Amino acid sequence: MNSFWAVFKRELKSYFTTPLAYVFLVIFLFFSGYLTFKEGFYETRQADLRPFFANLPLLFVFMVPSTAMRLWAEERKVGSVELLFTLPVTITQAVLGKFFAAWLFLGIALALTFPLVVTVCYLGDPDVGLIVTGYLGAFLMAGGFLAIGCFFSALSKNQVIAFVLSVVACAVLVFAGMPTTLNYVSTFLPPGMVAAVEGMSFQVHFDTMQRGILQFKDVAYFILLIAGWVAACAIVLDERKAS
Amino acid sequence: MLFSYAGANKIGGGVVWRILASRVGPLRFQSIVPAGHGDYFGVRVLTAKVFFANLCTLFVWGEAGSSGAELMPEFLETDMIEVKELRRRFGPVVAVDGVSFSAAKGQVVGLLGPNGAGKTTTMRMLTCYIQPDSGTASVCGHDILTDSIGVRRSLGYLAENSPAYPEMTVGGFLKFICDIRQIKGRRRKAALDRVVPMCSIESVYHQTIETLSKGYKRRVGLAQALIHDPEVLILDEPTDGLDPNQKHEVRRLIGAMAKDKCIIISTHILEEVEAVCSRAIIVARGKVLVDSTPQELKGKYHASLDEVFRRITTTQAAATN
Repeated sequence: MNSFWAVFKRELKSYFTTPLAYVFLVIFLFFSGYLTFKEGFYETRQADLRPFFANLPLLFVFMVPSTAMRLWAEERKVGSVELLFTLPVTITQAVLGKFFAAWLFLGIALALTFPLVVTVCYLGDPDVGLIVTGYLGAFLMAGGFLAIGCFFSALSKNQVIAFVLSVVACAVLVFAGMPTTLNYVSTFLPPGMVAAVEGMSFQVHFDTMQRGILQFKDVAYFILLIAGWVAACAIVLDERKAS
Repeated sequence: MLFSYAGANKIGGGVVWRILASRVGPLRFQSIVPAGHGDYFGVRVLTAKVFFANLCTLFVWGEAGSSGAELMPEFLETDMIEVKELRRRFGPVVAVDGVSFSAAKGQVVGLLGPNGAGKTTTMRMLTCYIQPDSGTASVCGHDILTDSIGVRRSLGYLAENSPAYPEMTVGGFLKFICDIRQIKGRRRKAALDRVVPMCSIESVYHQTIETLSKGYKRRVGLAQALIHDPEVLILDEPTDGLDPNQKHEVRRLIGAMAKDKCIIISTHILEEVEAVCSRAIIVARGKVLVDSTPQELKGKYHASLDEVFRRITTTQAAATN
């Protein structure tokens, strides 16, 4: 487990020793705040973070792959993957170490949106439980996007390709749950299949969480999604690390 | 009168030295260590497979005088690297085609060969970076297929182009290597104090690796490979791209470490082989063509090592076609 911590620590540090972390944080915080206030934060006259959470999936579609794309693609491009895997580290330790470091980084980005929480607390008397489940859902969703990005990053040496592929994959999973998509799909698929498409989407599971409902099936969805994509990432990496 | 001593069979916990007659029947001749110890005019080092599938070494040394020879356990040697029939192909290209050799402590083995001979692939398989299609190898008794973590723990590897994390400082990078190799606290400080002056990288200790010149990068890579004081060192073209002074420095370093480590270097610079290697293995098209010492090679062909290399790699490679 020590090797896991070593990889984890190095990865997390590397975000902050490069401008990447700061560029990402500034842009993420600006857009998360901007979209919140633009989408009628004041007009609803309600002290909650609904407008903030509602925009997160779309923001994550672009922001999360941009942190995930470098995870393995850069390592393979620079050649340091040869160094890493000739040190006493197993693939699982390395993949998990990097994944959790990136996830914690996204967690830090989410935590830095605390001024919004302060704002609603100042303006009214918000339901704290709602905010907590909302943040939990957002964090799990970030992990899901990240696992997908991590996989595509292991697939290609080229960071741009990794980015584009993971944006597309994430977008498919987000838009699968949008009412317009579901309406269209229901024109040619039986209702059971439509429900299946809806159930695969991030949107549905995240929506129930930001309404304050913490269901086993939603948490399980995210955990399974993360475990599946991260495992796939480890398999692909083992195959391709030397090519 | 000639006395011979053979020894080192591990029975239980102790080492039992056995005196044999001067006959050395089934033992495999391996290398000759030059003389230089008092009365002894020569020491022959022989290896044989003994108990527990361990390879223990038997010594036989003759003496000119009539007085009995003494036991010299410090000559005890074991094969630290054992490569058996390694094979690996990349698509239609067979990169390594049944390479076998072994190397013991105190040896500096030079893997020589033209470009694309399979040197790097062999080293990558030995360091568990890629898996062989067939065959196996063991490093310090750990098998590369079944105990790859054990192998990676016991060796230090400097890969081609000495890859590192460009955004890290030299100090941060070495500390990361310590973390991953579980060298902590006082031991970490001691390891850094030993390795940093050894590779002369004090002046760049706080610089990020991407700002370093090629020579410094190489030395950082070497420091990384030496930080846990491994018994086996595998260096892929350690002097490639260095200036003459740095080359000399690296060779001096290898020479200084040679006696208590097993070192494999790959190179296509032949002067380097003469300068540092006690054994030369010539590979071409994935096959071992010659396994000998540089001196023997030169003696056998009556030519410079350059000439010998050219003759062997061109004629024998042509013969296999």
